[in-house]
Amino acid sequence: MEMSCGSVGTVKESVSARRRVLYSAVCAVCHENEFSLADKPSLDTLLQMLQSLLFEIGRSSQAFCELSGRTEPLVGDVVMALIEMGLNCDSLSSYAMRANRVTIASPQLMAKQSTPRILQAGEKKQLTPYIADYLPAFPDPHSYIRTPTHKQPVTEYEAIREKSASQKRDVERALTKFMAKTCGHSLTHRLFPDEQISHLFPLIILKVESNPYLNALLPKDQVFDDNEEQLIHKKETDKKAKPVVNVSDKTDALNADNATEEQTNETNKLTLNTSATDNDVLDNPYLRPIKMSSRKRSRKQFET
Amino acid sequence: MTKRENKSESKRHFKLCHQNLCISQINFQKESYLGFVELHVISQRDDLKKIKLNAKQLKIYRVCILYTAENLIKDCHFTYSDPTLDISQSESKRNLDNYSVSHLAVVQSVDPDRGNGELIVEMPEDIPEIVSAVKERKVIRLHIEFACERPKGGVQFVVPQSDGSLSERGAHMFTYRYENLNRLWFPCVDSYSEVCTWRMDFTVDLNMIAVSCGDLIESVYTPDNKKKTYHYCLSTPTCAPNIALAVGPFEIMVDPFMHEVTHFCLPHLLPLLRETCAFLHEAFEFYEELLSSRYPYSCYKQVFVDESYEESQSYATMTVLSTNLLHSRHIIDQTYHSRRVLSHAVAQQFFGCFITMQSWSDAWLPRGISAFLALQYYKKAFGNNEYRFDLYQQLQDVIHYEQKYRGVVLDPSHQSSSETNAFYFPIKHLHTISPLYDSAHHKKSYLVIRMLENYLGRELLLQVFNKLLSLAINAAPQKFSASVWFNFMISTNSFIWAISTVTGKNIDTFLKQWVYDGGHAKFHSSFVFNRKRNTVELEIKQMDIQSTGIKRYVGPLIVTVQELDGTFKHPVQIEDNITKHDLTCHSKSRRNKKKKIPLCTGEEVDMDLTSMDQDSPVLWIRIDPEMQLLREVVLEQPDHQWQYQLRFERDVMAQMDVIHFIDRFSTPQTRNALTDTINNEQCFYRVRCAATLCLRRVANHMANTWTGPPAMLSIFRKIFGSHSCPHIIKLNNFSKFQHYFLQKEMPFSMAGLRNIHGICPQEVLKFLLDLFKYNDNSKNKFSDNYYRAALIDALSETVTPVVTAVINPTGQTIAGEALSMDTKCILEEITRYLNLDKLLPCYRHTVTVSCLKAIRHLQKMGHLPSNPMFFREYAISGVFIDVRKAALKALIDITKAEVRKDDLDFLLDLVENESIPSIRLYILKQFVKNPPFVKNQQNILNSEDLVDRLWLLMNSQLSYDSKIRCAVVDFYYTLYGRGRPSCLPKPEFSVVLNLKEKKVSTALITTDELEPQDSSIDRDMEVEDTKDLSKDTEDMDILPVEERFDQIVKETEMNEHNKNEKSPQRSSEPQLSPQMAEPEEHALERVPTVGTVDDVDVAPTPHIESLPSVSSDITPQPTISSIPPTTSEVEPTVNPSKEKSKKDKDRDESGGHSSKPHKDKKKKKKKHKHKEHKDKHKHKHKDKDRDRDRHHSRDRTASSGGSTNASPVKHI
Repeated sequence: MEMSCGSVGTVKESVSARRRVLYSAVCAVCHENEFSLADKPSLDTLLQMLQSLLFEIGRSSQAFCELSGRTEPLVGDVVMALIEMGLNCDSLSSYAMRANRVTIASPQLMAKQSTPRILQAGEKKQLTPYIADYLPAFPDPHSYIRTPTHKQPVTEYEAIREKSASQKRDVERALTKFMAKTCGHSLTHRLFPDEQISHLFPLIILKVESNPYLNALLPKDQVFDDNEEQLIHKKETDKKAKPVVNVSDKTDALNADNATEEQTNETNKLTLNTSATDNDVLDNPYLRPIKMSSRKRSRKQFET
Repeated sequence: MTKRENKSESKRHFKLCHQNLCISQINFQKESYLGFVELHVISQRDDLKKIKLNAKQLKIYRVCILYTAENLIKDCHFTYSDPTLDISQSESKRNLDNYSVSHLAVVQSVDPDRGNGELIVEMPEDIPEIVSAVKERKVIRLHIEFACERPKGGVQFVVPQSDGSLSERGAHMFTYRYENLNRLWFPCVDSYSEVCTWRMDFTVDLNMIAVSCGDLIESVYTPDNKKKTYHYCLSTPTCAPNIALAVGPFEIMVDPFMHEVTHFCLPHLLPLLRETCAFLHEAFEFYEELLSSRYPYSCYKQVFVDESYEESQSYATMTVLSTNLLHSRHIIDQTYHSRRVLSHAVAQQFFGCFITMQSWSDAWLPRGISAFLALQYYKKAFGNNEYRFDLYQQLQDVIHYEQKYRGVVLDPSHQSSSETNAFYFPIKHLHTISPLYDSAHHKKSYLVIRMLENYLGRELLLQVFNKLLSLAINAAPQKFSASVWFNFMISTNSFIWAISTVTGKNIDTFLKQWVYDGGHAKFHSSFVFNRKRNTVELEIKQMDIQSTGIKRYVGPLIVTVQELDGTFKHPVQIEDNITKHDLTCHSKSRRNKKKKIPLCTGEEVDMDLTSMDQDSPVLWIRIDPEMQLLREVVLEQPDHQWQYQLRFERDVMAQMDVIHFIDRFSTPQTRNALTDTINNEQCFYRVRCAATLCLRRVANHMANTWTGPPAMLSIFRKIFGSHSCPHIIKLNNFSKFQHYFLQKEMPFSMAGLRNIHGICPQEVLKFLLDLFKYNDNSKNKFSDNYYRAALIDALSETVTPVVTAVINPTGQTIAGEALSMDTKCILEEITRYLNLDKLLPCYRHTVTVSCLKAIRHLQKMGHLPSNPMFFREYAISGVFIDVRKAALKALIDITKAEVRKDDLDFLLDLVENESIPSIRLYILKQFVKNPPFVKNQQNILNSEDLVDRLWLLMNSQLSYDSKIRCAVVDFYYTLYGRGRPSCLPKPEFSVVLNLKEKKVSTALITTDELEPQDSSIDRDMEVEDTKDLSKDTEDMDILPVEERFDQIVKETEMNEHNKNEKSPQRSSEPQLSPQMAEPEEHALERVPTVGTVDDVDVAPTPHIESLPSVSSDITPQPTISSIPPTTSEVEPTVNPSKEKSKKDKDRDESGGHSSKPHKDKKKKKKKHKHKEHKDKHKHKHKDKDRDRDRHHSRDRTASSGGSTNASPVKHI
């Protein structure tokens, strides 16, 4: 016979230890009465009932005690309270002495929480002689000592190189290992058939791309600072008239007849760098607008 | 030549004056398009019955003729057949000789230059207008509608599998061709010599751009506004092979310096395009100035596409280039290469597109001239040293090819058929030549044009080019009727004509030496200084003129001698194989005076002359210093002369020569000379790099006596170490390119250093690992991806075979504990770089490529278990092409090392099914370089299946790409040679053939007394002779031979029994049958499945058995048949059994061959020897044994000669 006492553990820690003891008591009573199983809600209900009973006994014992002008209840007060609640006191002692009583272990003392030590920074200063000794001691040193905020930087070239190299390598190693272990793995993409050694040299899985040339031609391993050169470049081009080109967009082209003359102000990236004038660039047949089909054009003319 | 030859009387019965090409409904999903062409044809004869055109893999819907002004339509009958689908139909003649004959025949049967074609249109005879048009030589408009669906070649559809619209994905298509294979995408007269004007319309989706040849007239919407049509017009007469089309969502960049030039690239790559093409206008200007002729077309377009066939393909007014040529300005190495390719493509616009070849035999001219122009630009852009170095490399490449395979004949039209057919592929047609030969041909063409520059003078040669160009430019605007269009073609004859007109010089001898004939000269030379006469006695020998690719040179040769008083040129005349020349020295021996020594460049330098020979004023000697010949020079000089040459000669080619030769003198002096060269900032960087490799070799030779730190370590630290602590490398700064290249090369050279135990010194490994650790590119303007790749290469170079006693070939048992600390460190770096390159890929994934190479190397050396699956992942599509190639190379290596059919099948599947042609070609080329097995080698992979597969591939599967087809032929040749593969069963025994061949061989032997040293060398040249002989002997009837067979059966029965007693098990072995040793190779190599000796019905079988002792009876000449008894007396018992085992070997090595005819000879020899033996009785027995061995080995060589060739070997 086993009680479903698993719920005991789930009782919140915040609920007092007393309640836990009560819970055990309820369980014990149930057990004595040969319950083999009990729902947690029903146990809770019983627990609640028991608690209110005890609370009521306590409260009315207190009342009897105060009624007789005392502050601490005596046994008599409790008996009075029981009787008044209609409980049978006589059978109580025999019940307490019953043979199949389950002894509930007394709750353990909670370990005393030690208050965390305040971080000691530096030596605590003794009171200086001119301060009377009855005055409080100095507060924690961190409130008044002065420590230098930075270390003297290492200026030795070799050490710096060494450090930056190791840092870089550590970062790379950590990153690659992390990625290799997290981005999934394949059975074949490894150097050793043995799982354990492969683990020493994990490989990032190979991804198949739809346009592999893009990644290969636009490298990401290094970011070059193109800004400076581009700025110079831009200044140069700004001085000259910006090349203005029709974008051979579909919408544009549909009103191509109107659009041939009016030019969108959108600077075309394609012709950046050019020292050319507008007309020169427009001259390129690939940048010319697309013409309407002859049939449509004739119809338009007819309409107008 | 007085008049320019006009070869217009071609074999075609019509001429083309104009062609319209219209393509629409390009469907990227179905990879198809529809189109029609309209050919304007002018008949050249009165009874034009048929018009033969070229079309391949196309569906021809309709062929009709439009006539009269009202466009009346008359449908024509037409037939379409493509004989190149199946080259050789006969199963029994499965060898390369037959294949190459049929290949040539088949290719020529559709060759437009021979007036042939796949598409034969019958001219209707019932329409009077058409008949009269033919008679009056009027224009006939031939209209052909066609469609192309899932093309296997000629058109590449690139459709990436991802989300988004076609243009977002970057889907595009373009056409490509190997020489004239444009018939794969539209019907045409696919000849370089048939030019006409063009009009082309291409209808494409709105977001696509169609780029094609000629001027873009306009782009117009289709009536439904859903598509647009690009109208192109090419008014310069152009041949069909020079037409191309590229369609895709390209980004456009108009060249900022030349607005006629437009560049196109795939989406997202515009910034790279801008930087890659920024220099191009300089190339244009350079060529125009050089040729003093303007660019012949009105526009130029460059389209960069993915999955391109070659790096660049030039067409009229446009070039299709590989997108992988694009680079940003932070990349160094690629810039050299891309600029070279791009400028070469521009040069090809002049010669190659504008002026094309007349026929195949003239291909060397446009190839050579365009390469010549390109290299002139290369010289201007990158300097004279770079140019000369490149020249040196190209010469080495050609020499290497010629010595390995055969001489390259630039213009084979003057070659007799026997000479051209003496190889395993016919060289008369560009569609049948091996890709290796093709690339050697390219290089040699250039070298010959350059020699011509020396021969004629640079100015005159340029004037010749100018003449050719101006004639063509004048012809361009003229109408067809003016018949000046032949000026667009260049042929050897018209070139001779132009040269004689411009310069008045005759170049016939030159052409005969270098163009009409293959091969190069090879000089062995040595000298002595004669103190009394104060001369250098120089001896020049041409010893190897019998070897492959080397020929005898007769003519002038320049020798320069550097003396104390300066450089002196001595022209000498080479008239014989061995010539001696006395070169007078100008210097008096006066070494005590300190004086500067003048060099050939005019500068004067101080030299330390202490190591010189006290008597001689000669510092060094050079033969043919200006490379006026195609030659290899082996010059014997004392080591101090080499060292002086290395230190003080200014020509990079001379320095490279030294570096090739000097490693045989591994002395401290050489070490110093090399070290000085590496240190010398004035020295060309490539020479310095080569010197590091040479110093490595010298140091390894000197490993025992080497003192001090490993070679080059201190040099490296001096140049690249930081000031305060030399062992830490400086932050990368590649702005000085010389140092950059040196920085890449030196670690690699050092990694190859070995100590006395044959392993890499620990110090070097530590040094390399430090380079990895301290590599810092943060302050660099350039990417360090190539440098990092070089470091990985270096790291893998340090790896030497694993030391453990037993290396498991499969390597499956290698455990982690077995890894040494060094290997762990190396692996650590490699995996880190490999992983990092996946997260943050570098340019062209160079690091990944090197990592794969390194991993394969580690596997090969036994440090890692071999794992083909690993490389397979990198070999599939969707991976960048360079990485795929590296993986494929590793896989090919694994296939060779581990002989698993699985791996081979994987690679061959790729060859068959891969969508990128360059990958398929790459696999085959690598297989040729590194074949899984060689001819007649016992190998699991050497199976019938493989033969069948390759045969099927080259015979009937690759009709749409002759380059890949020829590459398969190369591979097949590497594996099996020219004969029937030994693993194949023999075809049915054919008495007639057999007989014929046998007679041939016996006849030969009776006439020949001498045996060649190595018959295999002569093999290639003998075909003709044997053919003739076979004709002679053909007339002999069969009967006598049958009688002979009977005789043999009777005579040999006895012997046979004896032998069977001796080795009974052998008689039942089917392998024995190869011994049957009949000259007819088919008979020889095919083992009859039931052909054991028990089959008494089979006449030849007993014959086989009889061979060892009696076979010599089978000769028509009675004189010889009388010999055998004597020989059998000499060695009556030993011979048969021994011979048998020998022959088993013979078969293994030669693929099963008859040694019978040679046996006769052997016996003759023996008789001869016998006489000699009487003189030396003491050593009789020994000698006999030795003789026998020698004879056997001769048999072997002779029979192997026969096996690769259908006919026996002629003995000189």
